Amino acid sequence: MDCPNCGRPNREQANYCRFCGTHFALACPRCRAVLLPDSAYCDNCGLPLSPAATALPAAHAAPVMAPEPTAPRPVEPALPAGQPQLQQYIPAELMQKLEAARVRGEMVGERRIVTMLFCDVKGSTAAAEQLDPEDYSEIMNGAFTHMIRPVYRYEGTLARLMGDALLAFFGAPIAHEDDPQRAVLAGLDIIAAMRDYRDQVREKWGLDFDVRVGINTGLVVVGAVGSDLRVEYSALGDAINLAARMEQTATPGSVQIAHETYKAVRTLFEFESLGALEVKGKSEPVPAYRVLRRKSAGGQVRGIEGLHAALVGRDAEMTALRDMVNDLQQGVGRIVGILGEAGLGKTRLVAETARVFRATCGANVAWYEVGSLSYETSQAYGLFQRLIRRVQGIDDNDPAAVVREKLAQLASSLPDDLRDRALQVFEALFGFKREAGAPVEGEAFRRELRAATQAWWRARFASVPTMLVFDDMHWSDAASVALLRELLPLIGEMPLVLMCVLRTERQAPAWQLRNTADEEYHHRYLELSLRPLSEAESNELLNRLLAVAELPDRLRANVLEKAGGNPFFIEEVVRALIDSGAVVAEDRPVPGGTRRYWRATSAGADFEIPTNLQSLLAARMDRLEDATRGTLQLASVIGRSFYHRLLRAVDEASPELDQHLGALLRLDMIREAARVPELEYAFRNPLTQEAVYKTILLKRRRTFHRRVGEAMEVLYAERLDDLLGLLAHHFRLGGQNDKAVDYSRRAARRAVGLFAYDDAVRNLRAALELISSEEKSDLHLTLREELGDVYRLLRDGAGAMNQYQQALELWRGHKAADKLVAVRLHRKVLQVITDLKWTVSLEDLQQANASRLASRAMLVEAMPFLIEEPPQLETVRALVALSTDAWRLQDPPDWEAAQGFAQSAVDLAAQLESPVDKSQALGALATVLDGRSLLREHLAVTQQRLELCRLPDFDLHENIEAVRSAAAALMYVGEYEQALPGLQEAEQLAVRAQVIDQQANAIGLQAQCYYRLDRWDEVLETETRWRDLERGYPRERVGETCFFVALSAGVHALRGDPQRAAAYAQESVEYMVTMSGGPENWQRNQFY
Amino acid sequence: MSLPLAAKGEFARVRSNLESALDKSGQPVRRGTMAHDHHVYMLLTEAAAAQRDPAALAVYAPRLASLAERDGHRLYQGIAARAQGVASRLAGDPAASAAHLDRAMGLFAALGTRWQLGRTFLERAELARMLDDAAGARDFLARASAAFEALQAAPDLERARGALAQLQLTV
Repeated sequence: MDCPNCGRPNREQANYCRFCGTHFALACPRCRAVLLPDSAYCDNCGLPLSPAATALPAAHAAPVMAPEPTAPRPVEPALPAGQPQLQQYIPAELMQKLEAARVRGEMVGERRIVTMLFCDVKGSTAAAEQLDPEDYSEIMNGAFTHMIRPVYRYEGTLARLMGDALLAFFGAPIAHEDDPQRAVLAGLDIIAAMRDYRDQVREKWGLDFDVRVGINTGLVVVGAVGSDLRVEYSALGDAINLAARMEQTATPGSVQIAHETYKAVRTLFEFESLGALEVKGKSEPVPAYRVLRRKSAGGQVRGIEGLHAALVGRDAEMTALRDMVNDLQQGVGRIVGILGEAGLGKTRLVAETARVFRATCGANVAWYEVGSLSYETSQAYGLFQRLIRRVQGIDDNDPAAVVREKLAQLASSLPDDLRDRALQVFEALFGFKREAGAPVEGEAFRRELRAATQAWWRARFASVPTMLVFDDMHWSDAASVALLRELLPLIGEMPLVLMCVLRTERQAPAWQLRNTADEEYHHRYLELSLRPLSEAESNELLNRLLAVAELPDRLRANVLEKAGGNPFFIEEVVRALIDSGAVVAEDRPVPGGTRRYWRATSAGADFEIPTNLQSLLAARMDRLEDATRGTLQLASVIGRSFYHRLLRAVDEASPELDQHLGALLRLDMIREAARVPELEYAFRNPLTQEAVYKTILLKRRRTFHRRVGEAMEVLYAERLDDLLGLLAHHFRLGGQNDKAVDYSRRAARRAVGLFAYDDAVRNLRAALELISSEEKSDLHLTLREELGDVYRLLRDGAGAMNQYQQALELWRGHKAADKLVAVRLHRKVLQVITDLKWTVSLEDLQQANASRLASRAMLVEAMPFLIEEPPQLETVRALVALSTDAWRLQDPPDWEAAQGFAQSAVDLAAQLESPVDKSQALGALATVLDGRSLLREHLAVTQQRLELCRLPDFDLHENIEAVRSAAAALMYVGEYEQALPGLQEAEQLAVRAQVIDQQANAIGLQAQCYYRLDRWDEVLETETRWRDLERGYPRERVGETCFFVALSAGVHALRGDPQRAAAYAQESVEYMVTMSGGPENWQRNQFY
Repeated sequence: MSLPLAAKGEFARVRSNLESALDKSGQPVRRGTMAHDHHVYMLLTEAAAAQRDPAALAVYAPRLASLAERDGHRLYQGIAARAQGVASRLAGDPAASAAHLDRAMGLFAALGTRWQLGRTFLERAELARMLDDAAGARDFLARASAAFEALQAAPDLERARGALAQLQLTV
């Protein structure tokens, strides 16, 4: 093998480079952890190892190297000599997978977010023409060496070599949460490395050439593609084409990235915007950016620009940290462990502690913060070197001489007897080699470094309260962690706090530090394990991020549910909602200025998982064994929670299922959700389930869904009614349309029975999506009508009208159409339009009038024939609809006709056995009497109706209406106290049935009773309740509230607050103007 | 939009609004915001009483009384009785006025409507002052003040306290 330091050849079995003395150790080809010589598996990530797989050397122990011109870099993998062959660069386990795919003849693949890096050599064609092939080969081999090394350095995968170009993936087959950052760093390193190489080539061959790099991030299908002769790991998708175009349009010697990558790394690098570039195959120009350099102080990767939320849900932790700061001020040192999953707010807690620390301890203190980097986990003493840089003020860009000078300053503060040896080890740590004197090696180096560091800490931190914060320690290198463990005793002798921030990754070297602190320094150890936020805390965070958020309830609930209490997830989803325009800011005038409101631009509740979140979740998933990962994917198809029995039935690898589930439980990716009535698991975080699901190829998803649906039908045959929606979902996604439609309809009916109307809509819509819009079938008509009925229940008049009209259109196109179907649809159209009055604008109502007149004419024309027929319910319903239309929509109201229709309906209903229809007919009559100010007669009819509704199992909607109208009738005759219980009951029933307008109305009528009873405080209390409804639902669902506004206006006026009263009165008038136009159009009640 | 106007004491606008709306169709709103004849005449009666307009009171108060009696609407019966008490006082019939106002007080007390009761106390105090019964007027004004204070009805409280102070100055 070649030495990673000097590049010269060594024996495969060599432990040290025979030219420069670099120590070789075996490294895991996947995670790069240092391996013991006889390892069959990597003891860090569990990868099975073949002899070939362990051929990559890694740095270990003290690197005693020749001085480098700049700061040392992570140790490179050896690059094979000779003509580059892709196989030489592909990790062994990936090669094994590809070979297996070739042998099986299968296409295996996954959908992934990948950052793709294209790099090609500009000027190579000219070189090929001018040079002997052997020289050309030598030049290109050298170029590839410089192009490939950085890809490995940042743990990318070399996917393809194409003549003078290469393609590398960051994020496949192994994802890291910071793949875009790694790809850009690799790109910059390639450009930097090629600068020197260009000079060499120019000098030796007189040729000029350069490289250019293009990068993009996006969704691709990755996997083995090809034939049985040759299979390679590749990616397909639009994103890869854009990456190629970025490279092709890049200036030689530069890295050019597309917008998706830019979004992920914009705070970490400096850029030049190239504007929007015309790109072949893209209809619109695409933004591109040239990466200039890495920022010396990286910006904030997390959080949302312009938004800030106070810390939420961490009161107990902050109390403990304040105590710790107070102790430190008194000279007491401690070790603090802040543990938690990614995104739970560890770094935020550190920031808050820094604020408290500075506020409490004043100026004469020190706070040093260093982080570990995900791509430098195997750089020995990388963390420690960064600590020295941070404390001693050594910049990454400082020349070697300056670095040595600053190290000398460090050493000068140490006792005389240690000074020289300390300087030697610190210089060695930074890669400097002394001209004279024997190098310190092996165990001696560790011993000397420990002694030097102890002396340095005593000199530096003994007199001033100091906080050393080590962030992201789960990525810390083992050597630094071992050194820190040896330094722990110093905590007892100086005012020093070591704050170790890490994820709960027990295999990380830093976990040992945590264990040592807990076991041996328990009296000085403070551990804070961050838990996910509760739902209320998550909601509070959301509200604090978006100061005044007007989000639909379903969207808010969806965000909170999917985020699973993870503040970072919440922030990222909010960021994605803002970026996508799903949530927009509006500055609205308020007294004394403006206030920012965040408003959802649609009523939709769904959103895409942000790319960076997908990467974070994918990185966790990639640590799994293939079979375990397969089980997880299958479980994700079942859903966020899944029965063990069902998973076993569909998992073809079920013999090892429990083993896989055990691994997933240990890694905290799933949890046991229930044991009774049967064993059930759930994804620990809902977004994980979605992210895992998104990796599965569409074709495989279909197969999995079908298998899940069929297994459910067998396993749960006795309780399919509880699983209708799920069955519909699986058969729909499994491509079994007939079954999916059937289950969707059944699910919708069941949802209506449970008042879950939104679910019913979703199910019916899903069924309709499976039917061609052109299909003129009974099923299509029925689905439209059923959907219209649910919209009507939701008080979505426009939605209902739309569906009924489409159903009528289908009826007209039907050859053997049943006329009663048309009567029923016209009656429903009429009912919907009467429902609409007062809840939609005058303009909308006028637009609907043509449909109303047509439907009314049809019903009037059909009525004589219907009356002659034997009594039937549809006739009663049509009469009720005509009665309501006569008073409600005719102008002026035709009270005589309305009472006539209603009385006929009551009489006809009496001959039929349908209590609900009887109740509705009585309701129609009662309303007419109400409109004619015959209040006692009205009360009598409502009481009659109420008795009917007290029958067991009576229709809940009708019951609500009956209870509410009977209470309103009592209110009309001045029996306010008696009316209140009925109104409260109606409100509760309406809440249960999700009938928002009934709920709002029952609240408003209570306000009216309170107003008449001079109970003004209660009037204002009710306002909070209907205002909540107004905020949560569209006006069509809430119904008219202008009168309730007027009541509050009255109370404020009576209490001597004319300004508030005027504002309320104005609101009420504006409301009426929107629904009826100006006062010239108003009815009497609006003047009242 | 008369309800808040009445609360603010803008009775001329209430009259103007509702008198022009009397010939409008009584289009009911489906749920509980119906402007029945009762409600309209109640507001017109209240406005006429506040404006001390005998002619309007003569028209509206009996109509309200008649509708309220027909339907047993106790609150409106009380409001009608108070308005009739004002009308009688304006007509120089203190006995009838006292009878109407006492009936109104009884109805409001039974309903527990403190603001209505407070306003009736004010009218009763006005009647007492007309009869030179300073002690009675003071008593009714004090009771009105207490009712308004409990409700935080600032303008009415100010009015009652002002009348009480004026009464003490006069005495």
